[in-house]
Amino acid sequence: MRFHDSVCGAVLLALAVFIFTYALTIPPMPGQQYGADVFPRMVAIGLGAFSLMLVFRGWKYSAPGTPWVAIAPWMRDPRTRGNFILAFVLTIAYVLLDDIVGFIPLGIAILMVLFVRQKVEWRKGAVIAVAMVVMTQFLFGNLLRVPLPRGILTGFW
Amino acid sequence: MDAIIQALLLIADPYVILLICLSSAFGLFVGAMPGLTATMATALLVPITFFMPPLPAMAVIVTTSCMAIFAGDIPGALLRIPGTPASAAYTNEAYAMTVKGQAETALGAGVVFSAIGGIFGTIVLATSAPLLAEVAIKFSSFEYFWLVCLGLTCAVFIALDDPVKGMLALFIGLAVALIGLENPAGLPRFVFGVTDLMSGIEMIPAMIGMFAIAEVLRIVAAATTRLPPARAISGSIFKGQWTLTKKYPKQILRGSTIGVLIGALPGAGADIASWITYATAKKFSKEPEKFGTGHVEGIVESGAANNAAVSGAWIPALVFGIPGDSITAIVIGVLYLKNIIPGPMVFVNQPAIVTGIFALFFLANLILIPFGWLAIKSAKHILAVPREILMPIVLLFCIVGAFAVTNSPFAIGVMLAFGLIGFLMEEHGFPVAPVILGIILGPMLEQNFVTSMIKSDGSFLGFFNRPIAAGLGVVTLAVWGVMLLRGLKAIRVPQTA
Amino acid sequence: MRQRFQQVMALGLLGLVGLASPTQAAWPDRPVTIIVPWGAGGAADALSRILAPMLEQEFKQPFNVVLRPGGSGVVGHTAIAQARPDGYTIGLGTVEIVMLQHQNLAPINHKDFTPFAIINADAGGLIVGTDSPYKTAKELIEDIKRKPAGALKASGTGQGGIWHLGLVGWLLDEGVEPARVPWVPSQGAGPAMTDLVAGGVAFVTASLPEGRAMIDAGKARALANMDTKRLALYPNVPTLTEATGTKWSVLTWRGVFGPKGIPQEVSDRLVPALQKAHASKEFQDFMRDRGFGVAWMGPADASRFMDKSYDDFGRVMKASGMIK
Repeated sequence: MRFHDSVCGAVLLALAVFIFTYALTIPPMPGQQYGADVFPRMVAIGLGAFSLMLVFRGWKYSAPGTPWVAIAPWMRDPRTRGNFILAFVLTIAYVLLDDIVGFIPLGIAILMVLFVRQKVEWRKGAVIAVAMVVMTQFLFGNLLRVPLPRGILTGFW
Repeated sequence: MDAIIQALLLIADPYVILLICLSSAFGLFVGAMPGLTATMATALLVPITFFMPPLPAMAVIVTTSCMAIFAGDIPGALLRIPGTPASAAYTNEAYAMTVKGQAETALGAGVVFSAIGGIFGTIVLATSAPLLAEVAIKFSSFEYFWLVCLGLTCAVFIALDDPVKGMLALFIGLAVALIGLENPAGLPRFVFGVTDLMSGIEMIPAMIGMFAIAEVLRIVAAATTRLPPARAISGSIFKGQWTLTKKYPKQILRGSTIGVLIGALPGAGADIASWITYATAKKFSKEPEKFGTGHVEGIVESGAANNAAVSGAWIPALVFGIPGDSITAIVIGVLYLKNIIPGPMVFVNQPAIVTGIFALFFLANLILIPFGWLAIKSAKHILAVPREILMPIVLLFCIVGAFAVTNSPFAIGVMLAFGLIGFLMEEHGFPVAPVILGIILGPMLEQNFVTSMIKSDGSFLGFFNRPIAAGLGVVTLAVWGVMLLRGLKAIRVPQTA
Repeated sequence: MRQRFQQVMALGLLGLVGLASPTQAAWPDRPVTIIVPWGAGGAADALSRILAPMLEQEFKQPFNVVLRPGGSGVVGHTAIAQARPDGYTIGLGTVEIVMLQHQNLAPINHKDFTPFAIINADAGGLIVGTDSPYKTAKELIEDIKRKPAGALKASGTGQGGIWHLGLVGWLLDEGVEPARVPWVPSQGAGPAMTDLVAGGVAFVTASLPEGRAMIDAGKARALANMDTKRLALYPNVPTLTEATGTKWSVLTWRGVFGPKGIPQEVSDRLVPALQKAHASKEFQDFMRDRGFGVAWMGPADASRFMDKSYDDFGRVMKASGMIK
């Protein structure tokens, strides 16, 4: 998806306005004239100024006929669109489920889904997925003591 | 002298040597895989370096980045796909040489002149950094304020043909840096009651997101993931390189010098260095008409430049704590984790680390020759690793890597959010490097600005009262002036399609 | 062939990670983070640098020191207080623990922490750059009285921090309006010393051991020591009382803390380890060499001490007009 420059500019302008108004609510540093509110206001002004320039430039000088929203090729092709959404959804699923399900089952599932989707032969995919996840668990979880959640496998080792 | 011996002892450790060999292999592999960049290689290594003493951690990063930048030449020459953006400038040239049957010469030139450029860069780093540190010790908040401004501006100024979007990217980074407690008053800002945001956006998950996740998304969204098969390299790659060295000494020197300078400028790294030096090589060449037809001259100059830039970027990173490129941006994060605060005092307090880094650069660029030779010889097989298997694995490592930094799933969310932001920004023609620079330098800019305002009782004149500050201030304002003119011109002649 | 390359890559990664660290059972069975609320080069930083390797040796686990400076110690102390109380995040707390709430800087006080031990106490000082015109504390205070308000600026820690209090208390005692010397907040004594040497401020009120690196490098000069007696480290530097006749003195202290609610099991292992480290020759030599004042208070003593300290600071800060 590709938005028109003016649309991008407008979104960033809204962000700038938000930062500025938020900064007005920051209390000053006790006993000093310049506190935590000064810098956000400067950032908001800079962001706002350049987004105005982008809005103006897009509106005035964009090639005629540039649509407000152009659909990128990868969004039109159901396969690449699916790939994109899948990678995204799987990562979110990991964040939400890792404590309950645990790293090993979830990691294998994520790799398998992506492999199958990319038409990797499933037996080969399964071997690689299990090997990679077990290796990662061993390296990060056991050797480096990163507390990768064990989830449903809690108590097995 | 003590520092040198100490540094050498630290490196001569078999543990460190083994790490160097492993990271060489890793760096060459990642650099040679199209779509995986040197920055991404470094970002993926951070969680591992987290568990190492400072010097081995630096060894891993230095070796990986040197190797990856060179290895980017391999698929460029063989498949016409640059392995990393730093090789993009001369990919067509190298491929044209391959078509003419000179792949050995093209890749050999890549190895040899990368090593020469890298060693030149290291010499400049090792001699200039301690001298600069002597000067930097006299810097107070005013000088640092201007220095940070100048660095941020340079990043936008040289990197881009669209300064408006570059500036916006920078301000987005600065806006991200506002989140959390890290401000002069220690007040929580923009946290909206989320405890995980109190300490601000963690830099490393954000970087893994912008450099690795965004790339994964881009590849899965690309029409094809399969690479064409590459041909094997059979002949000797070193044949004729000595002749080239004698033929193009000026090009090597110019490429290395420009490379190291551009590397030292904040925000611009190896990729920009190679574009610029490819252009200078063509401009000053006696036979410019041969460029693009498989002529080695440009490869010699920009091959030297991109590796010189890798070392050059460490100069401002070590002396001022201002990253010279996106790799050193990550390095600064790692140094902070190791309780080494980059700045002039590092040269006084931890000279062994500094000397150790210099020595590591020498070593990495020397072993680049044998390791590079191996990589070229096995290029055919490296490039045959299917990306549809590699990409999901990279995603898995990103998830574990982001998690490992803070041990919280929140970091994975941060990584994913920045991956999406990075992907969308590139789709809309915004560069991502200035965002990272903004996130890193935002707190430094704020701290120095607020302190300076307090010191000068709120008068902007105070920013010009000290001679060095005044000089830096004038230069910064001049650059802003030029940028403003260019920006106005860019409004009249839009580059965007 | 393809598989072989995956194997090579896998082995490579295996090797990289595998070399990192060995492990053991019970607390701590993974790396412990020590949060330091102050910048590099300060005393808190130095103390954590000496303690971390000793604890590492004791527990065979990495103790990673993470500096979290900013906001008069608010950032780091809040981070310690809000950490998960599992013993894997502890911190090097400083006197600010009992000050932050009074200063309205953060809604936390000593009740939000689990004290393990207080290990050091130091007095404030008076330090100028080598090229400063002031040779004695007396010359300095006279110039402060004579010159227009705001001509001389001081630094040493964050706004309202212990050394800021040290300055305000001294000025009040000398009969000078505290606003005559504006305070430049810094991220700790280390950054303040750097700024002093760079000529950013006129003087620094941090402790002499904190200024030592610069003093011994000939870049800064100690004028006085805000203690009741001279320091063994600088026997030639007078106390502030000797120099100007003021009765003012000020102390800071540092210790090892965790968030409230740390399991007793962790304290039972950590406190003896700290005591052992504290008693070691290595630690004592380090403290003497750096000129740091040695103190020892276990969890119970530290708790009692902080209760009293909290009330005292509230009184002094109100009296000085720093808070309302």
